[in-house]
Amino acid sequence: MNNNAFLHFLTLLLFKQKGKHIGAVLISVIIIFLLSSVLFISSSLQSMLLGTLESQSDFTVSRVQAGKAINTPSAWMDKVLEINGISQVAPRIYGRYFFAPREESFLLVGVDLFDEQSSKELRSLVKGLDLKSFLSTDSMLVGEGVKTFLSEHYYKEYFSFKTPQGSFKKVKIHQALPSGTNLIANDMIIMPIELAREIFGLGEDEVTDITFNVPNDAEWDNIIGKLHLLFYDVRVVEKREIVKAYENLYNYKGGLFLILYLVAMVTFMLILYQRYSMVYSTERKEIGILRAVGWSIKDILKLKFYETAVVVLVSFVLGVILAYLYVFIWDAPLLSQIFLGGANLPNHVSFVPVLEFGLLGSIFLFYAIPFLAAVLIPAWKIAVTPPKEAML
Amino acid sequence: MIKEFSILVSIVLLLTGFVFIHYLTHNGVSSQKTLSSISKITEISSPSLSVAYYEPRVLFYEKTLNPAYPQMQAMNKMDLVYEQ
Amino acid sequence: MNEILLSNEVIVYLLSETVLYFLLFIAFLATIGLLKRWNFDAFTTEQFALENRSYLVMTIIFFVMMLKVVLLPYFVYTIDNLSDLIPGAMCGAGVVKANEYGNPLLALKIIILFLSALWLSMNSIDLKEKNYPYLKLKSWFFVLIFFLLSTEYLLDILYFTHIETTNPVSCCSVIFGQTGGANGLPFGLDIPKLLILFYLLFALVVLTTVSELAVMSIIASLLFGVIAYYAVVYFFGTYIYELPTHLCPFCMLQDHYFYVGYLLWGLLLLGLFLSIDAAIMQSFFKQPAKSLKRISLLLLSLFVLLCSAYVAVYYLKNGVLL
Repeated sequence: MNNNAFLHFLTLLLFKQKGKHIGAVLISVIIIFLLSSVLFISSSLQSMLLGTLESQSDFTVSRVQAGKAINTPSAWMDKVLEINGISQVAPRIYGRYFFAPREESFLLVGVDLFDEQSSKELRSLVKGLDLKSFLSTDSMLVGEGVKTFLSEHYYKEYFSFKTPQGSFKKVKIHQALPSGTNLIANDMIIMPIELAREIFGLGEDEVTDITFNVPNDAEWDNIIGKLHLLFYDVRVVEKREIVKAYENLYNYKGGLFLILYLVAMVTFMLILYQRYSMVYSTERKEIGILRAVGWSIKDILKLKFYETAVVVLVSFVLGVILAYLYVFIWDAPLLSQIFLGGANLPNHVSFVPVLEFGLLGSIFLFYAIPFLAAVLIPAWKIAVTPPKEAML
Repeated sequence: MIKEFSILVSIVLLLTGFVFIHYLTHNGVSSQKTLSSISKITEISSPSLSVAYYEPRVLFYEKTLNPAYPQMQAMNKMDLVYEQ
Repeated sequence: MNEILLSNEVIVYLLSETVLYFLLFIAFLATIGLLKRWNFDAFTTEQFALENRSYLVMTIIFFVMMLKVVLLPYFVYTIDNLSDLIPGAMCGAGVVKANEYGNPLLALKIIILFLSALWLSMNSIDLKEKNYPYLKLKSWFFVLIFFLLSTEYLLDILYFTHIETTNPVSCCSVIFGQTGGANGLPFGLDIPKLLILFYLLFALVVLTTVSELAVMSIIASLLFGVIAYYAVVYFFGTYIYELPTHLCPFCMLQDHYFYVGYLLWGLLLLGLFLSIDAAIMQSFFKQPAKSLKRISLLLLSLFVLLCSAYVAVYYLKNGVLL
């Protein structure tokens, strides 16, 4: 058979009978679009978060009482520092501040701005930040979500925090953090560490928790053992636990979605089976003619296979492209809320495009194998129709 | 190959090309750097989940209870999907 | 619930395997019917229906085979991805070792791929004849493959449901490394002897294939397969990783090494298979297989060249060998 003639016939057939395929293409595009949007969002979030983890400390320790983390005495820092192999011990002061009237909350983070590195980092992050004027009065940097929320509530210049002692602390809203940080800092307020301590009512000798690094990772298990010997009421969180948790986190969401999607996929297979059985049975006459002019069963199977392959490929590419546009160009309205939540300040994250070959392959297999399998038997049934019978 | 089919194929290819160009020219490094530097400054890398008051905001460090009903297990709504 | 089963790749993989197994089961039932009642000389409607049904079996096997070829690298990719979730695993090697089903599963997959590709070439010569001379033979052959496939499917499920995410597994350097001075190579070989054997066997494969010594060619190919595996793990791999102590067949599948492992193992398996296939076609079915041979020699030569190129490039860059 001349290949070009075959191709011509195949494409002609596809377009002459486009009504037969358009339904299948539409459903497929919708299915692939939904599936790949969810997986794109989760893989993008995962890679963004795992990227930020690299700059994090290896360990965090905090004091626990009755299973809850409580303030950690800062005297622990000196004790931790005495263990060999530990470096960069630093206190953290953070916590949620509830904006009582609406039960919205911000994440207040105290930062040691006299530390060379973090002040340098902050200056490069926030363009035009004047640290001198920032430090001269009580001021804070707010995330984009906080900024919008506060200005909606007429806190344009200042915001008054209520301390546990009942007094008010008036803090100047100095500047907003760039919107690129929204994924982490949407509801965040950054302020000097002493100010945060005052607002949370922490004593001079208390911090929220303590972070430190252990450069030699062979020593990690050892260090954990030593910490548990040193303090009896301690909780140690390791970075590798967090890496694994992030890895799981998004598997969990994507995976749960995929499992639920299995139901849709099986239904889709049934629909396709029914549909193509019906469509092909109207083609009996046509196939009969083809058989009569000398096509073999193999040729007809080939024709049907290529027909299906074109449908599969076109709808796969269209679905993935639509999902790409939706997630990475329009930043996934609605769907992103499933991943980021919507109970507090509204967050708007722009996703960094991540296209992994493995992910695309997974989507393709998940969709193409059931599709092709569902069409296989109807295609065979029609291909073996004897030419004489078809004419009747 | 008939003309309509070549048109369809070229449209699909054009769209794919557009997506690839967007993918290759996007500035992923700088947005990743912004995120890294904010987490370096604050030492916090948890995503800014928009959570209700009884849900933990900083994953893996915070465990919160429902203040209205302390005996009740924390509902941790996002925990259903964000496994701890 | 086991976290492993929530991994996207595992779900997709298991779904694909299930769908394919379902199709194969239909093909299996059809084959049993064929075997029972096939009689080419009969002119009954039943015989006619059976001939049609043999097309269904053929189509299904062809389809499944094509997808299994895709699913083998996908399986390896899945395993490689799981290594992030399992404590201690740095690459696929640890994950395969995570329970006792992993290694048999991987071996079985490769064997099945070989056998079903053999089935396909048998099928194609069967179709060229007018009276389906090999139908009974290929049907029995398929029944055999189907039992292997059932085992594979069972192992798939057992394997993925029995991976523990809490127990640490060993890293590849522990599994393949020469800890305690023990030599991991079989038959008391050492590296120079292994390399001599590697190149000699390659020459033998080329010679036997060119001079059409079918049985010798099969034996040589099988031996070359084994030796090539050890040579890559214990010698060429170290040049890919540029680290003399890194012995692992799986790490080279990661993006860090530009996924070269897929190419390397793919070339080896495909080349070996084609050369065995050509030999069998020639000796048992008396079919000329010139182009098959040419392709297989090309693939194997590419494999050897690629391996040697890593050593050569390393030497040129650094002026020393590892």
